[in-house]
Amino acid sequence: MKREAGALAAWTSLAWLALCASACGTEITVKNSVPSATLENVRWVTESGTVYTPSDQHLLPGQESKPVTIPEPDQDATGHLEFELLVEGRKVALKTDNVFRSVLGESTAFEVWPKTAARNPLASSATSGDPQPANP
Amino acid sequence: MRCGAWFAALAVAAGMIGCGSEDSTTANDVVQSVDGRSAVDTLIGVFVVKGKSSDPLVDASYVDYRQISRVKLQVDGEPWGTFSFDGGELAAAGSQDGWVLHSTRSEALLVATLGTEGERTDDPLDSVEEWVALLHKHLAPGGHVALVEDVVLKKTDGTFVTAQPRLLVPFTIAQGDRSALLGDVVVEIDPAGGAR
Repeated sequence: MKREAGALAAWTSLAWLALCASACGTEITVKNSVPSATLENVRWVTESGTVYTPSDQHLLPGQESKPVTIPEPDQDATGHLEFELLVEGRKVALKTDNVFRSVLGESTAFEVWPKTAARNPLASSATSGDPQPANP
Repeated sequence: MRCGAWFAALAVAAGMIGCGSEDSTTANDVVQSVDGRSAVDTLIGVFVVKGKSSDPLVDASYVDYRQISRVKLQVDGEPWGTFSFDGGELAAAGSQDGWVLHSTRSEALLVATLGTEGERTDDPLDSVEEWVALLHKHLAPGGHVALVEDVVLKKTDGTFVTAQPRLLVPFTIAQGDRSALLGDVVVEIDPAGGAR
């Protein structure tokens, strides 16, 4: 009887946690803090390879995307941002060296700054460097 | 689930693109024009170094193209880059004071593409602001002036001398051009007196 009650309590706790996580909602947004440049086709690619894309595909300087809800497997995940940097009719595809982490049950803004480390996979040399914290 | 598999396939495809990188791809190669606007990023010219003689009766002599090591350019008063020539090794036999001279022109091809300087010095563009600067840096149709700021020459004994010709080369870019022709760039130096 005691054992059954314990199991029930454990299940209840798990269900409560899951409910809380989904109710609070883990979300991410992407903010463009690069003056004079537009970010296009922004996506957050987690270390496991899942891609999350905000509905706004065109972020002007200072603009923040609409939130993207992150489902359970990636609610505390890390990943890199990939986007196209557009300046005066010319653009280049970039991937950040910086690692961006979603926080369970919170809305986290991933901010791209001028100092954000980013490379083009085709143009950069073999050296990739250590991961750096996001939003330096 | 199906969506997850699709995203995973996308990520694998992205990874494959990343693995396909080549050393020869410059930062400028990966820049695209989205509206067909002219964006010249490459200057092409024929580079000749001519020996200057104080004696007008002496025929002009030309420094062997393999002795031209690198050249530093400005365009419209802004740095364009430093560009290396890879002319190969040159035997010292027959040289005069470290110079191999010819009575006919000895020409080197100059291809000066924005973005190559950083990569040659193992300093690739690695921040958003550096990429923004590269995207800003292109030449619009119209008249421009290149300045040959420095020319570094390699003598046959392995030492380098730097000439500072301050040579101005006007050129024009037409609508739709992707490169600009500088034509003949003839730099005069005094081999007897060393480079200026």
